[in-house]
Amino acid sequence: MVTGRFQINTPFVASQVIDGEVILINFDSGAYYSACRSGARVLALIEAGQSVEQIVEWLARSHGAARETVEREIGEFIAELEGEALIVAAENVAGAELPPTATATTPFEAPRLEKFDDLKDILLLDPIHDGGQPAWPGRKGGDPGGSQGRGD
Amino acid sequence: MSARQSLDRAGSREHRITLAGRTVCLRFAGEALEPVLWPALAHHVSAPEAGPALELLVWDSDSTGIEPPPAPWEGMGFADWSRTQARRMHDVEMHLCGHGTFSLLMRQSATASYWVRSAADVPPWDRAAPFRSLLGMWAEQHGAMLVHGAAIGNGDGALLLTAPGGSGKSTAAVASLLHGLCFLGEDYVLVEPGEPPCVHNLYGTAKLDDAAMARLFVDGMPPGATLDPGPDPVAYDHHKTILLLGETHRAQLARSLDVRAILVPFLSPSRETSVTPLGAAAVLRALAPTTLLQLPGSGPHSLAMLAAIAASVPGHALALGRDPGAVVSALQRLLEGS
Repeated sequence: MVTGRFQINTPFVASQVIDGEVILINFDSGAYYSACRSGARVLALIEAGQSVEQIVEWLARSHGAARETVEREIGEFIAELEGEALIVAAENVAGAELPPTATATTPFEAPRLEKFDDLKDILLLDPIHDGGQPAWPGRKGGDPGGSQGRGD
Repeated sequence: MSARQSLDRAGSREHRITLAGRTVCLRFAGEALEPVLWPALAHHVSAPEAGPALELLVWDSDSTGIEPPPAPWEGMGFADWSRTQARRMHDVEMHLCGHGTFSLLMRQSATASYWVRSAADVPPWDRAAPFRSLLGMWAEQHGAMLVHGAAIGNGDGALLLTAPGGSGKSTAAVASLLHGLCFLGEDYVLVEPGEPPCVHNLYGTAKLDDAAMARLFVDGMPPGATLDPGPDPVAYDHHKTILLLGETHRAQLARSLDVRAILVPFLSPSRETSVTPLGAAAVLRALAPTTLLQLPGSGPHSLAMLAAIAASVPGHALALGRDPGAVVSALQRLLEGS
């Protein structure tokens, strides 16, 4: 079973809740995603710093669902989020207090992630690079035009 | 020597314009880039001589002899100048376009540089929408988002049309202009969140492919001025005509209007035009990826601003039929009902 805490993979991923739906954009791959209902709820709990174990426990109690079922579905969902590089393992994250569980009114629904990659071809930017060898125009390995530039 | 010092020494021509309520001072060094990059902005009314919120220095090395902008930080640079990349360090943002243009924004000094080796290297999309990266990064700092979308309207407000390329928004926007509506943009506009949001015009141009030209104009020929796309436009993209609306329809270019609704256009399979309500999440799914995946410096803050815009006005799916007149009628009904 997947364990531990996770967080949104910023700055490479941005997520936003709107009308109960979570929209995520992966700036590395150009894919974007949507998660509704239970998927949105799980993502909200992840962003609140809850551990996978806490999320499973809370959902099982909230929906009166078998723990094993919830554990399996949540595990698959989180593995999918990780596989898409939308979330990464989090360290030193203190989880907020879980909301109180209420009497279950709806059965547990497996979380789903919808992926859209129709725009990946318009992605113009390579992933943001930090460090690396400086290459300014005019320096060795820099501008193809070969002019002599000067840096400060 | 700094870029500003180089331009001061070489001499430059200056234009001051107002964008989203703020003064931008553009300084063109030499004579090669101004006729390429100024026409898309020339319709803006000259701003007063107040201190600018942004000074944008523009030059090419071939005609001016001025070197590219110096690196703002030791160790800052790109490993490969043939790939499109963006970097941000402290208050500096850089965008390197793999086609050979380089944009640098220094936030604290409110100075920006746009450099290219030669005017012939300026790609067609930069001619139609110059300094898009720089203005987008700068505008977000001041609470406005550069949005990939078209905007048209009348005295009561504007409709923002957002969708990826090929959705028909450009044709719908130009058709609206030709039928007498106000025009704020065909491809990129600035939008400020608010109740309601406000859309600001940036460019006085529109890019249309051959099919759109045939649908909108007699014999597919534009009735007025067009912009030279450069020496080899097909190498960059399929052929598009760049209409210079700032010259042919200046009176219809609105500066700013309140947004009344956001439309997500698509080509109607039935070839009939229709409008159906759309929730804010679906609007954001249409608005955000196509905007942010093309905008250097985008991140969670950018997505949050777009979400605020999407949530604050009604959304609609706009099925675009074959008849531009019917499309414009549908848009006019939406404006009247808003």
